Amino acid sequence: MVLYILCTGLGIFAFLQPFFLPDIKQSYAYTQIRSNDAPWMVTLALSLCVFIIFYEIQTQAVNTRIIALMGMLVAINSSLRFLEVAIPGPGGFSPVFFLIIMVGYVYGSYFGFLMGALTLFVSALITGGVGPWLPGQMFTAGWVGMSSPLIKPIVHYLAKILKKNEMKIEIFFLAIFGAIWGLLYGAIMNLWAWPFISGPSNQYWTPGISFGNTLLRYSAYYLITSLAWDLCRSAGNVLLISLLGAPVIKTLRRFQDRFSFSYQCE
Amino acid sequence: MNSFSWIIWLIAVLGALSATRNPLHLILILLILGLMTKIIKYDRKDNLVPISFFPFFLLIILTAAVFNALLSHVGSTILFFIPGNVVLISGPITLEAIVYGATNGLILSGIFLSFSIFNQSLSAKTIIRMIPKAFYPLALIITIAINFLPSIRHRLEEIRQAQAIRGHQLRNIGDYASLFLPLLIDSLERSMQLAESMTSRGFVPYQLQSTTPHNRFVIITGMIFFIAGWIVQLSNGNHYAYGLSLLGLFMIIFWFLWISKQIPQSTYKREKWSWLDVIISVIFLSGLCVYIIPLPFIDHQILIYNAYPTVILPDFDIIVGCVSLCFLIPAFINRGPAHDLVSKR
Repeated sequence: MVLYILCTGLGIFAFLQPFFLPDIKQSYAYTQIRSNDAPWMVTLALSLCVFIIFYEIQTQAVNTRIIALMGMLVAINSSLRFLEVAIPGPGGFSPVFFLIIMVGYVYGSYFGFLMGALTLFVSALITGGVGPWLPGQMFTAGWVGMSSPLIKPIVHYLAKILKKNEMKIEIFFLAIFGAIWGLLYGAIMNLWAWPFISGPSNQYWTPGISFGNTLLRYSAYYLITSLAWDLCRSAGNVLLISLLGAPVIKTLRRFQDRFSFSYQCE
Repeated sequence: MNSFSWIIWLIAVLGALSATRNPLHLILILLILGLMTKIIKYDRKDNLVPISFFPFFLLIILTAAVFNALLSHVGSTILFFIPGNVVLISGPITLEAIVYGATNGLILSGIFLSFSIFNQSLSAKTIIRMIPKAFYPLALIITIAINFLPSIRHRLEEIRQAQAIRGHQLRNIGDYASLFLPLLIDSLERSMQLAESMTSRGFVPYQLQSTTPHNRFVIITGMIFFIAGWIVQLSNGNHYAYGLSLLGLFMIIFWFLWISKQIPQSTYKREKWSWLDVIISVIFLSGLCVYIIPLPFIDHQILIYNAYPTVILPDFDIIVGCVSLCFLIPAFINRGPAHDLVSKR
């Protein structure tokens, strides 16, 4: 657990470090050099986090069935990404998050992290998308899958209180979850490049300004460059979860029972 | 060329691109990379980037220049004004902002091009083979995913045709459920069969050693060193603090290598690592050192070019320029499918 917290903390720090910097006194010349090395340090830190989390997950839950199941699910999702690259959808619409959220929700956070991170890795391999942005994409997509089981307690609680069909509540909350991550994924991934494209303007990141001002500048940048793009991803997630969510959850649960058996030799 | 030499080449080019903002040096690196795409013989036959590089990079550089000029109104050489009160856009358009934006475009183009060459030069299987043994279950998952991708696409086409025969038409996104669900169920069934066939052939995943308190201490200490070095570097700009980060990084890397040593694995084919690979790797690293290490015969101020506050013509360091030519070596070394594997005898 300590390693997960440390890795997540380092990942969050790597993405959000421009927001912490204003409290630190810096020189102008240093700012210029920094805009070049910042993305590499972020990439390095995120690669480190992804590898450590991968190793930790491997030591806890690896058997033949999980390897085969995960390989096949990653293959399906990577084909969806391949289709997305070949036939681009509107704006940032991407079908890959749907299955990451579903798998994370049904099979748990470890599985969800692997599904998110490996989908992005495999699809990058087949589409030639390996680059310094990849560890950030893997880590963020991993977070999407890892965090989806968090809504389970809310669903169970509301199903008990409202005495309604649990599936409907599940789909409703998963759709909200997908909508939030649709925007959040873009906002997080922008942070990788934001310090890199910074100039000494009033709208970009410049070390030495207050936390509030940095947030304001980033908000302005995000609203202008990314919001419309990310809204398409967000709407796409809601649409896919609303239309396909219920049958996919039922299918994954059916196979969960089939995959969870174990046999012992005498 | 050996795949590890390719990684060193990539690190060296990316390091050089990060170490300079001088447009002349950036253009030289971009020209070298552009020349490489013309003369190199790639291992991969599939064209991963079906675009023409020159118009694409021109577009990146122009977009970055226009974008920065419209949003950044700093600089002393004012070209014209955008009137009105349009948020962020209105204000003076300066030559400095254009040059600064174009420099960013050059760096982005260089990064994109170097990764494109890397992606084209190494096959997916070669990249998977480089995954350390400590992560072999993951490498296996990735191998399964990549090997089943063509059959999944084939299966999707079969399902589409079968549904079409039944009169099913794909009018809206909801209609795709009839394609996706059979594909998902079929793939999960196949994963069950795959798991059974792997088990019946005697595959048992090696039980990786869980992180013991001793191992955990190494990894946590490594991470703390990494973060501490980074924070110190961010706080006072002292690049020597990166040494602490590097120490942490090496601790974690060596820990993974040590774990890898514990895992028994038979190697059917092994990649060649010749003296030529050693020599060219050393040349790439030397090229990188010229860019990042302060040397008495190189004026690093030329590399740290800044368009603000007043744009001036950048200088050109002839030694650094000549050294940059070493990044062109793979174009002459890589002759066709170079990752010829030899059986381990």
